[in-house]
Amino acid sequence: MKRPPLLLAGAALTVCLLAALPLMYIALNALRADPALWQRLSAGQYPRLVGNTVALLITVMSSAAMIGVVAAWLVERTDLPGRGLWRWLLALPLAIPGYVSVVCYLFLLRRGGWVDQIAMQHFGFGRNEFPLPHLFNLWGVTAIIALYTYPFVFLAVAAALRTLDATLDEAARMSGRGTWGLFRTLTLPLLTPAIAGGSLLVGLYVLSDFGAVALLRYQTFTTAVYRQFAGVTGREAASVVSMGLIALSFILLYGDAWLHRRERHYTRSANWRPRRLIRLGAWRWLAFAVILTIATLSLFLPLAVLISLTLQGIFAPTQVDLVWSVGAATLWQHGWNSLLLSVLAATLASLLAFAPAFAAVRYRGAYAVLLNVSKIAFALPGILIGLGFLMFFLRTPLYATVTALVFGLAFRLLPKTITSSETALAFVSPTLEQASATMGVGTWATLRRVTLPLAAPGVLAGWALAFVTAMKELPLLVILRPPGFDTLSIRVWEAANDSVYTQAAPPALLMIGLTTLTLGLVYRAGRFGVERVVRERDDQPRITVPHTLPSGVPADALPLPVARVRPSGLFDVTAERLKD
Amino acid sequence: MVVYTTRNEALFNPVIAAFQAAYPDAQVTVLNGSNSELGARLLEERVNPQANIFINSDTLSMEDLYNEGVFQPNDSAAVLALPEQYRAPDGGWAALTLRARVIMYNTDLVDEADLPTSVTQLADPQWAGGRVGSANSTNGAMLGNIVAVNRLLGEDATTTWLQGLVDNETAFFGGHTDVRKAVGSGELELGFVNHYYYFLSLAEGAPVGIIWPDQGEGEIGLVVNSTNIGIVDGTEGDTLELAKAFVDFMLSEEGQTIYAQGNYEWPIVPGIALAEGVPSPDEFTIADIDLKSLVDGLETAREQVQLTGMP
Repeated sequence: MKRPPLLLAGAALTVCLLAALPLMYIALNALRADPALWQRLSAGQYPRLVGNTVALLITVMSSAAMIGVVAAWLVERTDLPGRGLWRWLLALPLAIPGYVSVVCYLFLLRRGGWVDQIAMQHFGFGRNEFPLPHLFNLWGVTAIIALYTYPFVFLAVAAALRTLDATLDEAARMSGRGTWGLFRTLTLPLLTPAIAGGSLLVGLYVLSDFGAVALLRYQTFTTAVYRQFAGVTGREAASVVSMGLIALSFILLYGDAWLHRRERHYTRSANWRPRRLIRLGAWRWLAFAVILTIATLSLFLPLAVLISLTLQGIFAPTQVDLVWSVGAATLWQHGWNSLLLSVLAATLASLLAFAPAFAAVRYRGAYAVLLNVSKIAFALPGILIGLGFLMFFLRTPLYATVTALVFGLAFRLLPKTITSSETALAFVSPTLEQASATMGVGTWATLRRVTLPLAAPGVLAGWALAFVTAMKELPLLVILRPPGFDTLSIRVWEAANDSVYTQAAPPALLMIGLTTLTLGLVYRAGRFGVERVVRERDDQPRITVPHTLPSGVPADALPLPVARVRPSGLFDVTAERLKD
Repeated sequence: MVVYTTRNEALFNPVIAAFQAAYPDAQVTVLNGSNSELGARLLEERVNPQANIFINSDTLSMEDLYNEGVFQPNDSAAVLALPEQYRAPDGGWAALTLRARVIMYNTDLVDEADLPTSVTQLADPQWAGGRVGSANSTNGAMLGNIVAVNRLLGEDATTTWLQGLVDNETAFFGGHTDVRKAVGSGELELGFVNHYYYFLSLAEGAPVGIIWPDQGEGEIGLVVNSTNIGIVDGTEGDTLELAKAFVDFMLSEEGQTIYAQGNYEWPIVPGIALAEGVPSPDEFTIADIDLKSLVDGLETAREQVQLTGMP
């Protein structure tokens, strides 16, 4: 097997090891723990925790996959009214922190909540009479979490659908398949890697999530980890419990890797062109209702609750509001802190991800294994990740500076950016690089002029996903931020923690607003490539060079497949050849 | 001076403002966070301390951090004047306020005649069917309460009590705020909370009442827990002087009044005016428990939690 250049190998190794720091921290503490502790935890808690966590994984992953696939298919493949808008809106629930969604739903649906009040005041229901859905069980937790995690699947599948080849469809149609048969026998199998990739992100998210499950009183491995910190700071016990999380994420990652191996069978031919839209006819409005329902439940309702809470805090402030209110200037300062931190961390994470992803994709073997290990950190609770990095920075002069926070956060985001870079690079055919080499172009020039431009859309999408995650990040900030540096997520948590929801809502809204705005700018700045081709398909479908778009997640995740593909130099030559 | 605290800003900012009025040159930076995260951070930061003062409301973790060497001794007269069960022997940490464990109820839903008079009655079948709320075992006050009941009633009786709570389908929340909101809104009938939660709900106009439990002859008395302060080891020079001045301020009449009244708590220093409506602790029998030794019983309490399957 080929061996990577020394510089690349060194960089890849360093980044992977750094990303795996929290893992080492946990392993170290778990090994230090008393064997009796291991025994007690594994006999007492493990079975129930495994049961609860696996059940939640299965229900959330399958519900999120279902919502995501249906939404993506309707938006990308049919003449659904308002497709362009939905493509954008359906991704936005990602910008809402999970625990904020849960708080909004509790406001609406708990006994004594807004719905119950309305039922009692306007529809003559007595106390405890109105039938409310029960949120504090597996199904309640599943419904709420699936509603804000489905965009992981939606974005991946939508991106994959945009890149599917029309010629395959035509072949299937000619052999007599109808719309449903086409979907089942052709589209679905082709989408499998994207669905799996999106569901993997959902699964890892479910494993690491604390806020939402804790609010809904559902016990998982992560809530158990936090419980070990109650009363005493039980790092050993927390680490022992976390080993269960690590085992579960191994299974998820292995499953994903297995599905991804099949993905390589699908190559795109040179005469690729986007598929035609399916005309739904009268069914359009049913499809519209389905999409509207998804968007209402996942986006409009939580936003409506946040907006009314904000207005309540402004126009009918209580004593508590007056004490808590921080004023607009401070709010903007927190917003600026959040934005700066997230942009820097997401950018650093994207840059750092390149070397290991490239090594793993081009040279596989040990690098691919290493890469998977570094991804596990994704599933770990933030408190342990924070402590792991803290251990690393503690003795350096960087500790308790914003720089250390940017680095720590970047490494927290690495698993996400590595995953997207990996998928993006996997779709850059090595033959293009080889062609470049045979023309006498050096390694670095090839990288700069061939590989990077082609991988750019996926990398940019990974950046966007990392940015969204950084805006919402909480536990790592509590542990690594320097005193006096507050962000929106900290402010939301502070107020929500004391149930001053009227003051938690404004920073939450600003957070969602800034996230949306930033993503919108990135989206506008880079509206090129496949996006444009798809846009033009209905006018005049023509043969266009596909600058490849990855189909796994989160390559081309947010609706910004995009990125500047500089049509210059070698790429043009290669492109011309592809056309032939 | 850097203060790490788990107390909420609305409560804490007035105290800092008053301190800065007294010490205009002092630069005070506050870092808020939850007890688990800040506790873990302090523990790791022992080799490179960032904080000078830690203030929390969890007696168990305070004593645990003290045992791990997070705090430095404080020979302040104000600290050493406190009763021994409310401070570390060398003044490494000291209690600031006390809170009693009580039962609050929804006055629309429960008849006064049916009210329990002891926390042990919460485990009676009479309260079965998910009508009672409590904090879960992630909550320091609840864990401390279990340790205290172990001391007062013995381990077997405590295990039976916890089992009863679980069998009654008691709703266990992450924190007491959710419990008091659920009782106020009528989602639950009774809530097992710290006493100030009742006053917070009352101030919001919720239909709630309070039971100060276990006051009868031969009963265990009120179980209390404390909010605490300590000077972090590694604080030196002028900052140390300022930190000591801050601790003394927190135990002064002005500091105690603002800090305790803001949250309806009982000041640790005697003779301080209480918030309006809050009865004096002298009116009650208080269980005789050494707060600083509670942490020794933690392992037993955790085993009981696991055994009974309490969340």
